Amino acid sequence: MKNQTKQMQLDSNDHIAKIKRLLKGELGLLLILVVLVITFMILSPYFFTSRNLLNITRQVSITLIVAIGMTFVILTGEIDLSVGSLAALSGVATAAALSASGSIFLAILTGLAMGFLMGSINGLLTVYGKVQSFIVTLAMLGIARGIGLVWTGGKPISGLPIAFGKLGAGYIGPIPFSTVIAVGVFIIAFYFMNRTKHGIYMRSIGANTQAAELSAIPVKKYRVIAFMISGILSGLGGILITSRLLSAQPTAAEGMELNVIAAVILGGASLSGGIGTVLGTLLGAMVIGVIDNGMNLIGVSAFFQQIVKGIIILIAVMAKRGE
Amino acid sequence: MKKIVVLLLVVLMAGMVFSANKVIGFAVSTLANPFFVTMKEGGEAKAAELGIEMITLDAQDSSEKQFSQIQDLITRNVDVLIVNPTDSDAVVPAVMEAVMMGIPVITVTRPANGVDVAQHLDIDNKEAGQLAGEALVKALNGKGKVAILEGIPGAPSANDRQAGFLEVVDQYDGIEVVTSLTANYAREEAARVMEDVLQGNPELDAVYAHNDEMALGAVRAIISAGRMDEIKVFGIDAVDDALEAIKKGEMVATVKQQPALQMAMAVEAANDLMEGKEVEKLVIVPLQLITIENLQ
Repeated sequence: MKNQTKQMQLDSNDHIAKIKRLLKGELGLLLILVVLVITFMILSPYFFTSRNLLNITRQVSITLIVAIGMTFVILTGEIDLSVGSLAALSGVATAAALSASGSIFLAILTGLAMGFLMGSINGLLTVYGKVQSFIVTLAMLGIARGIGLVWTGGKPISGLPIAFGKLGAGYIGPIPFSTVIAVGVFIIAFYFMNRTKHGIYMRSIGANTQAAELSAIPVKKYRVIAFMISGILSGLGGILITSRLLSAQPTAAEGMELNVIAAVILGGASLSGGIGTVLGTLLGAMVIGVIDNGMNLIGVSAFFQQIVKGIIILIAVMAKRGE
Repeated sequence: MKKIVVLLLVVLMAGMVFSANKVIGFAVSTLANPFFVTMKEGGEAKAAELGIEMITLDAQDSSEKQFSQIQDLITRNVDVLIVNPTDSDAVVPAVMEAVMMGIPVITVTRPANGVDVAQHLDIDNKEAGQLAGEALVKALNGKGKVAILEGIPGAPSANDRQAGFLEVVDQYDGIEVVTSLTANYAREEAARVMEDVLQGNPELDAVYAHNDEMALGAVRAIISAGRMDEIKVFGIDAVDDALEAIKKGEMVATVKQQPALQMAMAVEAANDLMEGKEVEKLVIVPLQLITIENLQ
């Protein structure tokens, strides 16, 4: 009887410790976010308006969705450099399907399927082909981009029905639709990662693959699934970009992988795997989004913006490590 | 550590601008192209003269970036929005939102397809292609093999510069267009494409590029291959580097688009709009062929 009580007490201490650990990692980033918000509030009277804040969430939504996919991949100790190209290719596929069938539902399905397909190829080549994910996804970056360019002849697919634009640029009340979608993806990912065994498995695979294998976790299956998730979410990102611009550009999302990886790393993930949270990624994406938006409002030149953003990311990561 | 972050940020934001009374938001496609840099400078000069503040946001040729930037300019409550679209279709949703929010929009160099903007300034790109074509025919005496470097596929300017050029050149049986490839209006890409064209065409007499940036890239490749004596290069835009190239004999001709003038006119129109005056819907800015002869 006494042992049971002691065990229960140890368990609840464990819980508290877990919550403390969770908050400590993200708390630092939240602080940085608050500092940035206050700074921009001072520098521009337009920053802290409801319109602008909602705009930031819309601007961040696509990066966040793709970054959530990236979080899964990085958690398993891999990397996906092809996300931008997959997004563009999915966008092209979506537009083509829309122009051909006139059905928005079918078009979205096509876009997601394209992302899933390419993501699966990434996963299978990495896990069963035993090629490093860096190489596989680097090749896919070029291949997927190339397929999109060949498919469209280099020209954007435009003339899409205005109704389709609601996804990326529309609103539900005052809240941008794409923000709602991003929040939905976040909630699903958070639940999957923290409340199901799947999330724990993926984390352990990244932390110590051998130990995971010995624990009878189907390592190969989960590693492939991580890439599939990244592929589908890249596809969703591409659909939203195409919807927002009512035009599928084969050159869309060029360089997106860098922004996405920055968000994930800023969020506290480790490139070697095993460490990282969806919440951290959310905060990381918000930090980057706030910086971009704030500097736009002030009118800082694009060249200068790149320098400032790079420096802020460095400082933020160093500041977090310092805790 | 956090205090340092704030301090650093404040220092880095030294380039900030306080909000003045009248503000123009200029969403430009890319400042990596000197043509648009000249345009921006022309606009800034005219704006300063009129006592208007101009905020310039550079989309670095990304339509998504431009979407966000136009959104931010709308948030910033600019009085007039001047847009140089990265893509005439992709820019439409953002421009429409500006129009709906009551912000007058002026488009320069590329239109926003299907949107009723306050004013569109452009050159007659077809005429530009024709002028270049006529200069080429004259320089080659009506006979020779020509390679074309095209601008961004689907861009109306590229389509028109191609159409105008071919209209002139097709009249001469002696002129043969051996290849027409895109280099996306960019210098580096043009250099690479030109290298391949040179490899595949041991006989080549002229290169016509839709803009000077590509023409200059082609010149680099041609000089590397040691074939500058055989090949004459023609461009459009009359950027400073192209004028230098004409002086050095590396380029034969270019077409002056007067980007600074175009933007100054746009800023003036913006000023008129802010004062409640009406402006013309379409303004075509005059062109001029530039060769070694009329170069100052």
